[in-house]
Amino acid sequence: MTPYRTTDDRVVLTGLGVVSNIGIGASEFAEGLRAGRSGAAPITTFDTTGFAHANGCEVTGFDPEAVLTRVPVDDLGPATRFAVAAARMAVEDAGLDEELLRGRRGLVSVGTTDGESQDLDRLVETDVRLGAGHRDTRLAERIPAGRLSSSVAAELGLTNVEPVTIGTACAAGNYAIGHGYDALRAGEVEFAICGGADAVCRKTFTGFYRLGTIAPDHCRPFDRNRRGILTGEGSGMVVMETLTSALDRGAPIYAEVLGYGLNCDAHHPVAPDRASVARCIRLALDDAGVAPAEVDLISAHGTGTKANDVTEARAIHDVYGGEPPRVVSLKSMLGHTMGAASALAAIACALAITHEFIPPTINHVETDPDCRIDCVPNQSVRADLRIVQNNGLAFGGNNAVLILGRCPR
Amino acid sequence: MSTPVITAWSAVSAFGIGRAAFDTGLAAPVGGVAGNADTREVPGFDIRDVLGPRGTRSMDRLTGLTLAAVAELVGEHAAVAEGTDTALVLGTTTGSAQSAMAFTRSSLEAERPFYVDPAVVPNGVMNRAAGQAAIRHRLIGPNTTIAGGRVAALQALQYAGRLLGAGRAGTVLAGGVEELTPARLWLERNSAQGRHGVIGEGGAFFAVTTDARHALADVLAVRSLALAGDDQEKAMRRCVTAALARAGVPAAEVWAVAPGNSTVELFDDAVVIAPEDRLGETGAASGALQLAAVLSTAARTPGAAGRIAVIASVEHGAVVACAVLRLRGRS
Repeated sequence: MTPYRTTDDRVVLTGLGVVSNIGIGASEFAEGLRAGRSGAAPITTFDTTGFAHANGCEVTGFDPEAVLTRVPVDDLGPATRFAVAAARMAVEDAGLDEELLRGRRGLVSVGTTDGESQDLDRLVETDVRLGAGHRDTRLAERIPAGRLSSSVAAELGLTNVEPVTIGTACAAGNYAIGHGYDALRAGEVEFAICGGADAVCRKTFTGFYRLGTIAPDHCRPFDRNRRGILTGEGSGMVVMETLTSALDRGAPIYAEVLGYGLNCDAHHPVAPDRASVARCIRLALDDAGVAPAEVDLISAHGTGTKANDVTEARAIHDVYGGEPPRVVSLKSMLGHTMGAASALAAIACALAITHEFIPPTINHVETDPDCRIDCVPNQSVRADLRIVQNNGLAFGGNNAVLILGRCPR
Repeated sequence: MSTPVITAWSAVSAFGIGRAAFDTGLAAPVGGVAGNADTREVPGFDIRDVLGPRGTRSMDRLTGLTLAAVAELVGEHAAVAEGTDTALVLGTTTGSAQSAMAFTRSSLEAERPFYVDPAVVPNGVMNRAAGQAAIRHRLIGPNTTIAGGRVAALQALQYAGRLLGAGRAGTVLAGGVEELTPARLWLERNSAQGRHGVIGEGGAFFAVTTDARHALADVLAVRSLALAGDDQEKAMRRCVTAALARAGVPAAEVWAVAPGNSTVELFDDAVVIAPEDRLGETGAASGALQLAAVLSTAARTPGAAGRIAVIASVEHGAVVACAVLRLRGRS
């Protein structure tokens, strides 16, 4: 597959941190994926009066106070809380000592769509309800999206890391993981804590609603009667290091990052472009040194909108010919968690490889004949997965495709 | 890997639109900037006048400033937009807070909460400006938005170097842009770093590649470091020291420093380049405008060729960043 790479040149995932609407922490998340749990429920973050329907996939049962030890919770916006908590969990899951980490050079990269837009919404709600001059000024410091990554460093007490927030919308999680991969392979850092985070907000729900892309009840990717997305929230963060580093400290390895691809449609602000998505998949496979026939599973962007699913499925067929591997959409369970989406999906892929199962596409009734894929409807299945592809497609035509593989033990 | 080089640049600022306006404004001893007592704005920046009527009806200021800066760069260096491996990396603070807030406001004030303008939906997403720049110039390589506030442009430069190093792009258009809007002004005035002083806007972009033929400067090193509770000056000293070590340059050899809003010790005798004194605090554009000012100053300074410049910036309480450049002088 990639015989020319040395263990210094190979990058592995050794820690997973999850704040999701189907489970907090990697093991609860894995259980949720295997059970085909749904995160959908009526939205409570903001007043949904006036919308004909307003389901979403919010995180419940998450107590940041219980996880964070250094940074005061009130200093962080809701998306940053998710990111920081997930990062701390990932570091603990990797069995990494904080003192040890502090002595090493690292990268923290966090992808996001909306940053702290929920806080921006709050400012506007105050303006409308009480008039100008009543805003909570304490929100100003926590709104810049750079806080998503710099707060991870602050919480973990890491002063020798480069904190980067990547705002490439709904592909941002894959972008962030790819950035860590490049920094590690270049030998510029010794570890990377990467992923994505977003919090449900009125702005984004309303935008998708106005575009006619919010599903009335559930998200049904690849179904003939799919009606759209449900906006979701959470964070997925991973610890990455070289294979040498992981072997030296005897760390458990979930998966290897084999490569990734980035491109831009440069075509339409919101509609995905079939040829460009196919090109991005090919870029990723080439980067990983993997042939399409070697891929065992595709975790699709799979938003559940009419346009995305058929375009993405056709792009997959373009690359894979008539016989693509199984194609699942995590968004059937998690909703669209925006900047966290491809990070949570990457974690799901790593768990699927480790625990030998394929998470299902739930809420599925009848596959759209225009999509022509096996989406593993409703029930997870056992599977021996060697190579998995994780798609992230975004507004702005920002595509990012990640290839993960089982690390030979 | 070969060292990334900057081969062209453009700027949009209170000095005006384009590199020539920036050169002239920076070289002038005083004044030459538009704005009120405590703000600086890009003079006469009407989006339709600057970018034409096509595709600009629902465009916000951040995207308009970005497109103007990128158009100036592509105009100066047409080759950059060709080929499939030209990337764009944009530094921002949090996209257009103005667009995001105006959209939410329109929902809250409408008769029904979804009686909103669908054309402005994407304006509220952080990667809007970068995506629009890609569409306008058919840039189909990686398209990345880096949200870092005052260190965003230097982080964009660092990210550009990684894209080149990993072979993911042949040329990267990297820069930083910030808009002056009521939403931005409120956020600045209620944050420690923007509470006082003059707030400005603008942006600058750089063509970064590994093909040294038309190099204006070599990007020897870029570093950014989390503060994580550390003292800001101490962190900057660590950051600059690490970057100089990586560049293989002793501190005594540094000819010019653009410290931006930071305190950089180590360089007692260096020429200080401070465009922010005239352009105001320009947020995510600040590092880019500092870099533009260094290149502009070098181009009109005899003997600058071959010398070293350091650009530094701080996102208050969060991150420090710096870049070390070797100037090639006038090409």
